[in-house]
Order: sequence, then structure tokens, then C-alpha cells
Amino acid sequence: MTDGAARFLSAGQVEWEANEEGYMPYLPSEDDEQAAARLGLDDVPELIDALGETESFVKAHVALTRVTGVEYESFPTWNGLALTMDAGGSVSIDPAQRVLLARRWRQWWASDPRPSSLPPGD
Amino acid sequence: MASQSLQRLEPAPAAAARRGQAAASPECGATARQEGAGSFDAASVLALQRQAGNRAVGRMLATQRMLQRTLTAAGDAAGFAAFANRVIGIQFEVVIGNGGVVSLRRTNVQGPPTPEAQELVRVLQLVIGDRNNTTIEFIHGRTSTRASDRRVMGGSFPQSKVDLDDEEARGTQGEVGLGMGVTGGALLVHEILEQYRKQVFSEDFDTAHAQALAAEATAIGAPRGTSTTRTLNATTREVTKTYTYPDGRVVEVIWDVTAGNIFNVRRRVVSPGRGSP
Repeated sequence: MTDGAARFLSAGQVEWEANEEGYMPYLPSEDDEQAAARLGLDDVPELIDALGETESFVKAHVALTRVTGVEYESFPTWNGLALTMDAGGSVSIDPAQRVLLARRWRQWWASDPRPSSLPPGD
Repeated sequence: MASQSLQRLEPAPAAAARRGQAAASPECGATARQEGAGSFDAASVLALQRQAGNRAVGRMLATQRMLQRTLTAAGDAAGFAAFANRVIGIQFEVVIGNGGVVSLRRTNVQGPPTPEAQELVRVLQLVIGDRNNTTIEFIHGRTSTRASDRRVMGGSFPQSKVDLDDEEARGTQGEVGLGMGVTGGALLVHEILEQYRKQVFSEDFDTAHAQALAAEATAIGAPRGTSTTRTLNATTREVTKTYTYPDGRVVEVIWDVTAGNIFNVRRRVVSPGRGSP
């Protein structure tokens, strides 16, 4: 794994906001933000691999979305990631969806030319 | 707190039953709750009688009506009223009372209201007419130094905040014209209704946001179609929203988001619609 991807994935978990656009991820610290800013397309294969892990798949998905510049929706899913936020602000994410997300990112990465948004992954 | 006093005096099963009914049928629930704003059902009165004795009930009901707080504006309440009145313009005005209590007052300014003004008045009447309190903090994201405010993009569901700078950046229908997609007034409608649904009905984001989107569409005159975001660089992303009006007119509204603040709003008529030259 590249140093950049490893450093980014080892830090804190993604936090979520919800606003007029829909859901919005935030990295918990300035260090995390700086680590994310250093990621590039070279890190994509490692980030896709990290989608297989329940602990890191959300963060990897957020990083991939940023790094690749794909267009995405924020509601009802965040670029295909299904989540819910209750009235108290608590967020639930089903880790089972990481398999489909990984398939979609692999399809996107293998495409030539790469599409402007994630393929459906069917 | 007045709202806490009301909740203590009202039997929980009765409140829960009404809440469940309202959640299952929002339109009927909203009407019932509006009608109930100054009145009390039999269960509530019985609870009051048990607590205070019959002679004291009349006095307690009167006190509760006086203490009733329905929509409270925290933070820059005056800024909220100023922007809301820019949106409304005629027939009504928003007034802020003691403690940030929001009310609507009729004015002598006549003329046809814009769709966003009509919807804002309707939503304010709905929220103000409910005996349960909704509290929203109005902030200025561009100048705020609180870290949490950097996460308020237009509004924040979990933080119950609205960023007036972001809403003003999108303007009003009086300023950008009718049929030009989303405006700050339509988004103010969205945020107020969303907080009402969250705070009074305990709805999750998906449910409250769907209700807010419907009200926003009424205010705009067209539903929100595709809405996409893309990352421009480490600090800025671009948001594009598309609106299709009943006559086929298609409008795109695009803006940039940096540090949770909205800049550089652009509007583009993609298709002029039927009957246009």
C-alpha cells in the first residue's frame, strides 16, 4: 500500500452531516484533511482494496470519490453509499454494501475512457 | 421552558398517539396540529384537572397559551427576519418577539406574492401554529469562527442551523426572477420545514428531507431533478441542480462550495420550453 493511502486510512473515521444537498462526509481532523489532499490517482488501487474491509470501506469510498473527481449524488445515497441519519444525528451504514461498491469502483477504474460517474455495477 | 411545561402536563400516551397519527398522515396531522395550537384535547384537560383541580384549570390553560412557543429563532434572529421579509415582500411580515419567538403579522402592502413567498408563509403558519416548539439557529457561515459552522451548507439537519449567507447567495424570486430554479427563499422553506419535521415528529433525515424537497418544489414551481456534485480541488466542489418546469423549460443552477460556504452562483436556461420564441 502507498504511504499516502496507508496514512489516510489509518486515521479517524468519517463523520457525516446532512444538509440541503443530502449527505455530506467530513474528515474528523485537519491532519486527515491534509492526508486526503495528498492522495492521487496512484492511490486508487489501494483505496479500492480497502473497500473490502468493514473498518475502512466508508473512508476509502469517500477518498475515491474525491480523488477521481467523479460526479455524484448526495441523496438518497452518497455516491451509491446508502446511509441513514436519525433525528438525533446518529448515522447507520450497512457494511454489506461494500462488496457492490468495490465492484463498481473496479469497473470504473478498468474502463477506458473512464466514465464521469460510477457505473451501476450490475 | 414553556414547551417542557406543556409536555409534562400532557399524558404521554395521548401525545404519542397524536404524533403517530400525524406522522402517518402529514397533511391531516398538520391541520389537526394547527387547529390544536390554542386548544386542548380531552386527555390533556383531564391531566390538568388531576394535577391542579378543576378551578385552577382555566387559569393554567390561559397561562399555557401565553407561554406557548412555537418557532424560536436563535442566533441572528433579526437577520432571519430581514431575509424572510425580503422573500415575502407583501401581505405579511415576519416579526421577532422576546426570546426569538417568531410570528407573522399582516401588512398593508398589497400585490401578488411570489410562489416562494406563498410557500414560506404557509410553512411558517404551519410551524408557528403547532404547540410543539421548533428552534433554529441562524448563523453567518462566512464570518463565523465556530468550527461546527463550517459544516453548515445552507443548513444542517443534525445541528438545527441555517446559514443566512448561503441562502442570501441564492437570492429571492424577486431578485433573480421567476422560473430560474432554486432560490434562497425556497431553501429557507426547505430548512424550516425539515427542522419542524425533525424536532416535532422525530423524523429521520430521509423522511424529513423528502418533505422539505416537496415544499421546496412548490416554492420553485418545479421539482429538483438531477443534482450532482463534483470535486474541483482539495477545498472546493461544484454543485449542479436541474429544474424542469411544467412548460418544458429546463434551468440549471450551479454554485461552488468552499469551506461550507456558497459562492459564484450561476443560472443557465438549458431549454426555453414550449411557447418560447
